[in-house]
Parts: sequence; C-alpha cells; structure tokens
Amino acid sequence: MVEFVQHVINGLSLGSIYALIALGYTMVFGVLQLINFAHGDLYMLGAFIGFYTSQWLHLDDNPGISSLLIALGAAMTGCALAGYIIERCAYRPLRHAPRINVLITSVGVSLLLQFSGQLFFGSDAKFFPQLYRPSGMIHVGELTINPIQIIVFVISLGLMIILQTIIMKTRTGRAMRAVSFNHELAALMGIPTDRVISLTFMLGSALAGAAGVLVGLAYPKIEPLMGVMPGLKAFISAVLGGIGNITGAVVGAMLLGLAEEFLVGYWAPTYKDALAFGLLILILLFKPTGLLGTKATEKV
Amino acid sequence: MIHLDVENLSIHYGAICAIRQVSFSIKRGHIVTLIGSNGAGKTSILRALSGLIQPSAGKVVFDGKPILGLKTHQIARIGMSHVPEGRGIFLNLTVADNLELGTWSNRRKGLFTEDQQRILALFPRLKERFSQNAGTLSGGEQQMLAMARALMAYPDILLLDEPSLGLAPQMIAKIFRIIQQLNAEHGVTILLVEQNALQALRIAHRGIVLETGSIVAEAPASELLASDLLRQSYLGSS
Repeated sequence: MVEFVQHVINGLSLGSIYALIALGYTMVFGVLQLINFAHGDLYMLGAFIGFYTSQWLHLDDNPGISSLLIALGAAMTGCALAGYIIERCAYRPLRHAPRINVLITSVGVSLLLQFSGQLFFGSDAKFFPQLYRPSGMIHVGELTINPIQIIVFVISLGLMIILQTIIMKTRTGRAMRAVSFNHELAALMGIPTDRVISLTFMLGSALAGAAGVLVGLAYPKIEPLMGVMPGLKAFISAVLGGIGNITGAVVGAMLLGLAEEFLVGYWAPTYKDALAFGLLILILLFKPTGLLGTKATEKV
Repeated sequence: MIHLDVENLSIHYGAICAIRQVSFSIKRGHIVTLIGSNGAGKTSILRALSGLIQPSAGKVVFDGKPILGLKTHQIARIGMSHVPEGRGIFLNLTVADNLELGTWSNRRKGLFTEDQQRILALFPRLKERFSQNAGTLSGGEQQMLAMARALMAYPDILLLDEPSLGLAPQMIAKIFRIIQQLNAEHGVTILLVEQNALQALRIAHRGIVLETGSIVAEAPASELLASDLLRQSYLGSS
C-alpha cells in the first residue's frame, strides 16, 4: 500500500510537468490547428534561462522559495518572448499556407532551437543549481515524500488554475475561445485575431518555460536536447486527452505520468518510453479524438 | 446622405471573376436588399465589405472614409457589423459569452448590463437561454442570437447574409419584423442579402438585383415588386 501511494505521488509529480508542456501544445492547436513541434524545445530553453538567471544572480547561494520564483519568472518571461518571436517570424507569414507547410516549419524551428542550444549553451549536460534545498524528507507514517515533488506539483497546479481562470473568466480568454472556434467569425466581432494568437503562443510558451525550471529542480541535469522526449510525451498526453481540449491535456498528462510510474515501479522499467508511444498508437487506432475530445463541429 | 458607397468593385477567385465592376450606394437609415439567385455573388460582396476577402479592384467608402485594405476587426470597430451566412454562432460558447463577444467592437463602451437590457428586450427568448450553450439553440434562436450579438456593438450599419435561410415561415416573419424594427426605431442602416426576394423587398427601401456578378437592376423596392419582368426572372412567379 505504501509503495502504491509512493508511486501515485511520483506519477502525479511527473504528470504535472507533462501537463504544463501539454497545455501549450493543446492551446496552440486550438487556435491554429497546428502541432507546434518546437514546443518541447521551449521547455529546454526555459530550463537554460532558469540556469543562467540563477548563475547570474547567484540564486543558489540563497536557496528557497523566493529564489525559485525568480528563476521561474525569468524562464516564463523569456519563453513567452521566444514564443512570440517564433510565432511572428515563422508561423504568421504562413497563415494562409497549407497546414502541412506550417507543420514542417515547426519541425525546422525545433531543430533550430536544439542546435542553437548546442551552439550557445554547449552540448554537454549542465547541473541545474539547487534553488530549493529541502531540509529533509517528509515522513507521513511509513511514507517518504520529497518536498521538491510537492513543490513541483503545487506550482504546476497553481499555474494550471491561473490559466484556466484566464481562459474561462476573462475577456481575453473568451476571445481565445472565439478564435479557436473560427478565425473569420472572431475577426467579425472586432477581435484582433493575430494578437490573440500571439498571446496564446506566449501563454503556452511561458508554461513550457515553467516546466523547464521545475524539471531542473526535480531532475537537475539539463542539456540542449532535453526537450525532445518530454516534448513528445507531452504531445502524446495532449492527444490522449483530446487535442485542443484544455482539461483533456491535464488529464492525459496525469494519466501518462501515473502509467509510466507504475510501469517502472511494478513491471518493466526499460519499457518506460515505449509505453507512451504504444498508448499513442492505441489511442489513434481506437479513439482518435482522445478521451475528452469531441468530433470537430461541422460548421454550417 | 450616403452611408456606404461602393464603386466599381471587382472580386476574383483565382482567374474566375465573381463580381464585375459593381457600383451602388446606400443612404443612411435605409434598408437595401441585395437579391439574386444562388452564385450571383451576393455573399462575396458582403465579405469584401467587411474585409474577409480582398477585392481585385474598386473603392468602398463608409461614412466618408475609404475602408478597403483595413483588417476585418478594424472594420468591425468603425461600426459595420456583419452577420455571416449560416449565422456564425460560436457553438462552443454560452449565449451570454456570444453576446459579450459582440461588445468587442463597441465604440461607445456602453456598460454590458445596459446593452443586455436594451438588446434582450427585443429578443425575449434569448434571456431564458442566457447561460445555455449556444449549440443547443434552435435555428431561429441562433439567428436571433447572431443579430442580438451584432447589435451589442451599436453598429451604424448591419450586413445580414440570408437571415431567413433554413428557418420556418413563422420564424422568418419574426426575423423580418425585428429587422424592420431595428431600422425604424434604432436608425440602423441595413444591407440585407436574401434569396427570399419577395419578403426582403417588402421591408426594404431599395432593391439591387444581382446576376452572375453584375447588377442588372437597381430601384426602389416598390418598383421592383411591381415589375413583371423581375417577378418572373428573379423572384419566382408567386
């Protein structure tokens, strides 16, 4: 039983990181019908921005929540800016081009980010500074919990709640939902669609940046190609939950995190990565709209 | 006074010419109806007016200002509301959210609550369905929602694309009554695109008959209604 709860905690912590990245995939897909393959690399960028900010401000001399929040803020701001630039330069000029062109461009942007990362940050792995040093494990009965996992989970959850509030409760969020339903219609309402799309990219990228710092905290080895696998898994999470669906992305990510953790804990750790792709194949075969996705509404 | 002036408008889709040098103007406070058979280019004209497509040539002057080349959301914000064909409801949002989106191009920044009252008085049915998903509305209710939403912006001119399409006769009569009311009581200029030519001409001040991309007749609505030729060729024989 203790082992089971332990795995649940680990799974949710891993799942919440996938969720932060998956949200960006699903939001961008919502407004542009584009799978932005460069999204995983923004997460890498976030980790490096967190790394260099910490070095520059000597944040690890003074570990604690405030240092963590500073690094988090820097990574989110930096990634939002990067997301804006990518959308403005790479995707906006292709707004009326066939969708496949934009998709291929996103693969190009992804490679550009990975290899510029190697060029500028160096290709060897770096050790992410310990921005938060727990004084010890938390013991609840026989259960041992790493406080970092709690912090990762709580911060992710907080960011998801903020995002959900923006999307559901604000004027801008309503505009985003309108644009994701239909660009032309949204424009007829007087909504500046290009600006809303930029904003969506910035929000999604900021979340990926946050995920980068949180991963640095939990698994402190960072390198320029680190975005590939989590990026793909977050993409699979989004598909699993139903791409374009915000709640679906979170549900899919948590399920994938838990499934990986249980697989590693109880059965065959070597199949960890295969699991995600196996799930992708199954979901595409049997329920391509995802768990919470609905069929695209036919516009009359 | 001329409210909207269209001069030598031409629209091409690739090599195909959909609209050939069309000119007309609409006086402030008038209802003008654009009629013609399927594929005559009625919708293309509306789409060009609101910036959804770029015409290949011509000039559009709205309230004394040329508007060709402006983006769609900019045109919406200077007082032109376009209710597209098929109603254009955000089916994924609630009725309330749909109405709120209509206030994006509201230039007078009236309070949303005041807007609601003013508009909902005209559309009592929407009030009952306020927090319901717009996808659950009937066709007629969706058309009412589309018009109510367009009015949230206090438009100077309303472009309506086939508001009667797919509705039951009773609902059509209701929609036409509301159009008349908007024009008479609220002073909104209206450009009405209709296939239902007889009914449209009955409430309009002027009518424009379009055939394969060109205007073949433009006259006061009563004259068009009385014209035998038009009755036979464009309006059906009823």
